[in-house]
Amino acid sequence: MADKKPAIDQSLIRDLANILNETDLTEIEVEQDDLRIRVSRAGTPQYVSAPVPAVAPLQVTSAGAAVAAAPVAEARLSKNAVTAPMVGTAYLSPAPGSRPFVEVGAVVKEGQTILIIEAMKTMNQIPAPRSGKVTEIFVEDGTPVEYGEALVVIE
Amino acid sequence: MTGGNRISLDDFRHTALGDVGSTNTECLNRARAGDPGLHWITATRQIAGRGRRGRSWVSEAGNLYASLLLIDPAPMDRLHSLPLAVAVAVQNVIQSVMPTGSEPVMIKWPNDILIEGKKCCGILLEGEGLPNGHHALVIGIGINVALVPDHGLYPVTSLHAQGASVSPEDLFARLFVSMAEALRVWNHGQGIAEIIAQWRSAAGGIGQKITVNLPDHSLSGRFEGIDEEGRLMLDLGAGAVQRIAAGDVFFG
Repeated sequence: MADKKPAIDQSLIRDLANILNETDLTEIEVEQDDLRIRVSRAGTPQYVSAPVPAVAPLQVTSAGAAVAAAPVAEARLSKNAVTAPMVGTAYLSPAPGSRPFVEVGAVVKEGQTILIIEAMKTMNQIPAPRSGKVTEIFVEDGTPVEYGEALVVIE
Repeated sequence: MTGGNRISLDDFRHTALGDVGSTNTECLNRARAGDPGLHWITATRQIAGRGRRGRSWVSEAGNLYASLLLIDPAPMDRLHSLPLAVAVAVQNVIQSVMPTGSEPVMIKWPNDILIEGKKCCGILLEGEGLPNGHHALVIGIGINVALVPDHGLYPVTSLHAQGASVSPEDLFARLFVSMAEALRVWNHGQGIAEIIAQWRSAAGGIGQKITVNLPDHSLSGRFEGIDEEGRLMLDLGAGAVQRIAAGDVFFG
């Protein structure tokens, strides 16, 4: 490490971020001597005691210091967004290869299943909270979702 | 019944049917029609039995097909531990009918049951918000009693093949009691610590190398155990522990 550089090894953080992306993990934590670094994706619950912003894009913490790296995801917030009631894996269709429950532009009725979130082998059917038109779908089939994450927008 | 009184054996009802589409669907249909829950549906045969992600569950007469309907079993944030309680109950039942000296009956995360490393049972939980504001949760359980359908994904076995001489009816009578006890201990999610302790003592593969298949990739590492939310903790090396909420586990 050069003298002028901050006391945190940026290449290590970069490496971890790359591993995060390659393995599709949501979080990595490593400990080296007295340095502890946690790299996590946007929306992952933070367990550190230091105050963190509500939406923390790539969050890096070390002994007492918090360093925010370049944002990797933009916050998507909408009044009309249906959010995940639990942590789990989102499925957009009842079985692999079958037609999705809803598509952008579809008109849904209140109570209609719009997707399934699997958590602990429980398939939870997520109903439309109101009737309306699906204008956006944020999640991809088979990807993990966090609690409170926006899933779809029903206008 | 959320946060309500402890469940006891007398609270449960049982309806035995012949051929059905799927016992889970039967339960969900009854929930939509206002059934108050704690209701077991069994069938001698399922025409459209299903497993995880639309996989079919071959369900000819001879095995046990049972689903339990619960209404508002726990607040949403405590429901994740229910599959562990279910696994504990089913493991207990199967262990109880095995002859002495037979291979141990093990739980494979989160809630498969293996004998001699072979799958003998399938559990599928389905949840649905009802129009009346209540939440229906169905626990579907298929146990290979006499028949061994080939599911392709894992080695499979049956209780008869493992030396247990039990009928689906007798096995269900035991399951009825064992599930009531597990749900009493689980106590609407408040008894999770005790359930996790029981789960761990019957779990296979802890400390061993496992592979977890996720929807689009696989992860390999050492099986550390489960956390307080029931997620699998996979040690990927270099101190990185990944917590996994859903996936298919393979030992070795």
